[in-house]
Amino acid sequence: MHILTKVFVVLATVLALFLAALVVPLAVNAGRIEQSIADEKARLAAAEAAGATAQAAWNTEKLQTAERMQSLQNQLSELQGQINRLQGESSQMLVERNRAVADRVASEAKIDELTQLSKTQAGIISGYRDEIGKLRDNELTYRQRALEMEQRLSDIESQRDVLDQNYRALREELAAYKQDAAASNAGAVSGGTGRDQPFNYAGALIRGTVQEVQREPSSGKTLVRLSVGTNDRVQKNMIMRVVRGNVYVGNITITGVDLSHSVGEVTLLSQGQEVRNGDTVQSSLR
Amino acid sequence: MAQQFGMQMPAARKRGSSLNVYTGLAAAAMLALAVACAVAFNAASRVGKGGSPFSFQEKGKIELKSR
Repeated sequence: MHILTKVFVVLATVLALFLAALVVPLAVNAGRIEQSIADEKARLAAAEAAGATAQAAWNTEKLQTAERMQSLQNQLSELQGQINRLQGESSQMLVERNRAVADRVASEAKIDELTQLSKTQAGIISGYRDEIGKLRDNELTYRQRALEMEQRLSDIESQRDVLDQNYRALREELAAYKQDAAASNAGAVSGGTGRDQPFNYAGALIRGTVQEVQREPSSGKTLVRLSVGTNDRVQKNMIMRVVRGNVYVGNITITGVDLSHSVGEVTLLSQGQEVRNGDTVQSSLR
Repeated sequence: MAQQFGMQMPAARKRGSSLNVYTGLAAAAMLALAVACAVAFNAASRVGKGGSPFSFQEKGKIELKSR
């Protein structure tokens, strides 16, 4: 064998050994690297899965965020609209406020004017009040005078009434006297003449009531008190008829007369009747 | 043994060696091995820890030489 061949063989052997020494770590490292790569790939896949999940969650959150943004945008638009509306209202209110201020100024001026007017009118009213006071005093004086005049007038009228009644009574008495005179001349008497004997009143109807009935135990007479007197043309010895409703009770002869009442004696009673308080008395039964 | 039988046999005398195909083949093998060693060295350097072709990488802690 040629030396070169031997050298080549030796070198080939050494290189083979060297190659073997290189190949072993190479293979081991390659395996480990492959393993590492596989692990990394698995981690990458897991990371990608997590990333996909996160992406999905992020998408969901993004959607939700977009929706929230949209709703917030809508709220913002709404609030903007409200703000615009409120600004409009505010400007309107400012205008109204200015108008109200102007009105207030005008009202204050008017108030001042009215105050002056009221002061003037107060002066006028006080003048009127004084005048009215004077007029009232005058009116009081006139009314007092009028009252006095009326009193005097009523006194005079009362006097006149009394005089009229006296005149009427005198005329009736005169008429009665003439009748009695004519009757006595003709020979007929109508129940007595003058005031000494009981007589029938021929004048206008006199009507009153029985106020009190009293029996005299000594004489057995029944005395009554009537509500009519000389003011009503009642005279002494006048015969009055007592009625109760439509029932005739009896006769009363006047024994005493006063202005507003009179006293009489019951001279005649209907059968089964008696004079009571409240019975009606009249000068005739017509 | 050849020296022992070289005096007796006509072919026992020393002959001179010459280059033959086996030398070429050895050379080619050596060259191929050299190339293979070089490639393997290069590859092992790439995957070896810290660029060393004879070092082993730790599991889970691969350290490659940065280019």
